[in-house]
Amino acid sequence: MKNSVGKRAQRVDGLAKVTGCAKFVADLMPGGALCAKILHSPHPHAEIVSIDTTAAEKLPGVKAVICGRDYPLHTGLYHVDQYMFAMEKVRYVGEPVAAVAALDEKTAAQAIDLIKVRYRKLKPNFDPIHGMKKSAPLIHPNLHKYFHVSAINPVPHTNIANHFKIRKGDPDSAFKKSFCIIENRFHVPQIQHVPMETHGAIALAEQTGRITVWSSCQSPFTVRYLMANCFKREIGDIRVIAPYVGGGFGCKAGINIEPITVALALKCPGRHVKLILTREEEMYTVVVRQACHIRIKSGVDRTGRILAQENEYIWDCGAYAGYGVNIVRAAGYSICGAYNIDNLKGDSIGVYTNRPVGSAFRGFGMSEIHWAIEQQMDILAHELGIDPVEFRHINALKPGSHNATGELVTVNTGNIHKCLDQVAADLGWGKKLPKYRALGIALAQKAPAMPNNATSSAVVKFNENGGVELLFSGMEIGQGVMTAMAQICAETLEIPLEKVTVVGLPDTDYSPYEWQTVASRLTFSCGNAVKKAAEDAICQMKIISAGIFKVRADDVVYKNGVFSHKNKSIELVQICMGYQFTDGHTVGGAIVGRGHFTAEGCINCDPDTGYSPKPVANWTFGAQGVDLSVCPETGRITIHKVSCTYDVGKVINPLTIEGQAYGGIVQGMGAGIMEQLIVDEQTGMVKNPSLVDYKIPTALDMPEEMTASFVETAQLDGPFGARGVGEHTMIPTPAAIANAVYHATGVRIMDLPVTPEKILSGMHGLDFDSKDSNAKPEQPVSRSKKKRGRPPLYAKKWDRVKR
Amino acid sequence: MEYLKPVSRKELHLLLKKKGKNLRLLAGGTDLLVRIRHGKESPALIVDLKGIRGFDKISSNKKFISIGPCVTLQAIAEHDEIRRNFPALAEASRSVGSWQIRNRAPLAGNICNASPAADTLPVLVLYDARVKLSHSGRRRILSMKRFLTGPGKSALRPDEYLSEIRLPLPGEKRVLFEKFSRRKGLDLSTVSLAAGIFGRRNRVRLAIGACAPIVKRQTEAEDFLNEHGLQDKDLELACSLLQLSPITDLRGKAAFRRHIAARLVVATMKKLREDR
Repeated sequence: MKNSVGKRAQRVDGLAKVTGCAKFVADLMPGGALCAKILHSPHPHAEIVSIDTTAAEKLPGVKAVICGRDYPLHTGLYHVDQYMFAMEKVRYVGEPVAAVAALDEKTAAQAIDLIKVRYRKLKPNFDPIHGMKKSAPLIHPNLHKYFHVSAINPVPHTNIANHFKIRKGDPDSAFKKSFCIIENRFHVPQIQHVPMETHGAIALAEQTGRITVWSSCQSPFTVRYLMANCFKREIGDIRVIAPYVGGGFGCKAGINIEPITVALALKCPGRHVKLILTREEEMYTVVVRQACHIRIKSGVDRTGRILAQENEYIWDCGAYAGYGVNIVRAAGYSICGAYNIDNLKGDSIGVYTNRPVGSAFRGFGMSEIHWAIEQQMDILAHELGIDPVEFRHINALKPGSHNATGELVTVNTGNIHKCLDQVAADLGWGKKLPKYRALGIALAQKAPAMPNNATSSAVVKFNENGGVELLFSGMEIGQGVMTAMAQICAETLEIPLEKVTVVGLPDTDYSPYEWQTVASRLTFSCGNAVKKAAEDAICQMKIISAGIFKVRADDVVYKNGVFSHKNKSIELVQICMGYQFTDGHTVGGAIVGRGHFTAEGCINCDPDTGYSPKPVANWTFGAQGVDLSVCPETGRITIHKVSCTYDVGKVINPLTIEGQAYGGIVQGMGAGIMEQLIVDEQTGMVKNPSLVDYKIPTALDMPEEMTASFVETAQLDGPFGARGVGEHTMIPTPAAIANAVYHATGVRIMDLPVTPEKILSGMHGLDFDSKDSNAKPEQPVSRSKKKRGRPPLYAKKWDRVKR
Repeated sequence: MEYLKPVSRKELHLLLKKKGKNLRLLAGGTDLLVRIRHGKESPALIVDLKGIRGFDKISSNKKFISIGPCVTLQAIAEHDEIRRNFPALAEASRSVGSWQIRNRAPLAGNICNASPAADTLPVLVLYDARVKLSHSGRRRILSMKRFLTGPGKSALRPDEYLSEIRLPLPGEKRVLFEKFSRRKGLDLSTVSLAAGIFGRRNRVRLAIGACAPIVKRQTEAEDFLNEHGLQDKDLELACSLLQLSPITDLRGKAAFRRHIAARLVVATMKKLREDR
């Protein structure tokens, strides 16, 4: 019955979700639950002089009021730099300063208003480049005292939370040999994840000392572990239950609002404390995607080979970098994208500022750096007069080449050239298109950014009918992990998919361990654990049947639910609960298979050169192309078609992987043409903290057509050869759009997002910033005039040295 | 906060007379409830109009189509007679918000809210719509020009309510509504525009939204086009006569709005020219 993997299986969680049976944290209504509210900092950078909670405490209906002095405890995953509540100072507008638990929401809100906080304002900094200078205000003066994991390199007594270096070959002399050197700067703004469900958590502290948390999270076990560290408890004292999650995209990775609910619950033992963030709170008080300032300098020879490159990524980590430092690291070891460059100087630097906290976001830094890398490749191609697809073929990684950290690329690593050709074919690359309509292409690469010891486990337990309950703790955050794991389990056990019941909503008391649901790692890592658990169960049953057949276990053959040896056979259903002989005596018993998986052989990068023979478990490569047209009058973009191809090793479920691809394209399109969190640089306030002014694509904004196809170069250690693709699908979209806009209009936009305003500025030389409100609208300039010579560029700096 | 839902006009009139100054009328709530939630308003009394019979009806006579104060935007977008006679109003109504919002929000609310960016206003101004404001025992009928007095401000007195919107018949099919927004669905206008060619004498009418405190007809540009015609060069010249005073906000910079308004005028008039 080997037909589950590769089947267009319907989602295991589909029925529960469309019927409303699936319960999310906000749906849980424990009797007598208290309502929690948070007091947020109104200042981007200020000393806390005093906090007076007496009036709030006296308000009838208020059960607990807490602030930093009650819990002077730190949290953070990779870099422990944050107090649960701001202590000596606040570092961004929206930072939690105090919290209240009350009988109802209204009372809690009133109590929040009654908390008096006196601040002494400090000079804020919103610019990470300025933040690297000596003259910039120090946002974390105690940086040198913070605990961090070994792969992170903060620079003491600066604002630099992590500095990752790549030093490969000899870029200086390679630049000297270059035919042409091009240097560009790019910018990516902070954006928001906008999950459909905002963060929510419920905590209960019992008189026994047991703490239970229901949380909308991507990583229940990490929440438990970090909470035990934070509250100095035994891990076993804490239980985390994760109901269905309404989207994460990275913002529910690590630990977020859970400690606040626990801190309140500890003050009101025996009562549930519930905290559900409003959309406005979600927009800037928890986490956002980091901003990035990028500089790339490339030296190429006459044939189009990149001889040397300098990549500099200055990340705006925001006020805290507990998670963000690892994005800096990921951008470091992936520094030049999917290209083979022998001489590289790479710097990925994370800098503290007084903006909202930057953290994980689908793509984990890759979408940001590919925005620059993939445009730079197009610019180089254009400068040399080489077709962009051909230019990428010349320079992209192939078997035998070494990537940025020096890792050898083999035939099993993934075939980016096949992906590129497929996308070019799907889009009709080279076809004649009307004026103002063009194609753009971009590549993508990403590895799971996880600690080298990140581990997954799974349990397969048999029932009386020869079916199984499958237990694992990868979170179903919309990506379809429940379905994929069921398919892997059914395929390995060779039983029908319907026989597998997924118990996929983890409870840390009962569920097997999973590090985190991040990094596109579940199909690969959790999938391997599930496969091993199923294999373990078969192995156990083989041993039992060997005893029955009176042969060695190795001689027993298992196929399609039947254990056999020569002409003797036993069905799986006869043995999975113990085999009973005709006289009644029984051997064996209820079968429980267990499996675990940790990627092997991953080595930390050298802190001085970035060298590592294997920095990550695997790489997934892909390409994406866009066919769009631009209205020359209004600058409006119409996206006709988006095609993508990824080398995923093995498609476990064509239906859900297409969903992933289309979802990624659309999220990438949002980031590409409309999304941006705007921070007022006077007050530090986010100016668009609502969906009225922070726009993401709607059904009407979808591309007219999308296609997704997949290459299957098996990953040697992947389950059935599979590797991850969840995040990759949004990585190349913004750059592909920008490249297409350039080919359509001659306007190169280096500052994300690609808006009509920027397109019109570039096309017609209009300055919309002019204060003269009586300025007459200018007439469009015909395109032919602009096309000749160098295309106009919408970039602040455009340096070019030609030999 | 008190909530009352009168079931007759008489009850409503009584409430308005007694407590007019402290109450807020609710028909859809899509603006009011958001304002209350954001703490921008905290009325002592909310009076829900949805319980009054006939308020959700569209009727017509020889002179005009009459729209009740609780007729939702979705109902207008789908109404056959309106789509036949005032297609641009159906179009503008359909461009507001989302399905959920349009199923809830009445046209009267879009008018009373008097936002400079209200999508239906340019079309209503173009069609020369009138609003009937009622009061216990009295009523007055105002043109849109007299009704709209500023951004968020109208001639509606605290003890009055908008009881009817009148669209004079015959309508005009040669009217186009255009909206420029950050995305295609569920967004406020950065610039909106209604342009049409009216009557046997083919008179041009033009109104632009979200570019001035009050949505009104662009009379100078209209006069110029009526005098000179709709050739490309005339259209470009007419753009320089637009009376616009846009603001810079998150939806667009002032200069950008000016530019877009001008380009929309040219593009829309060209489309209309082909139909003439």
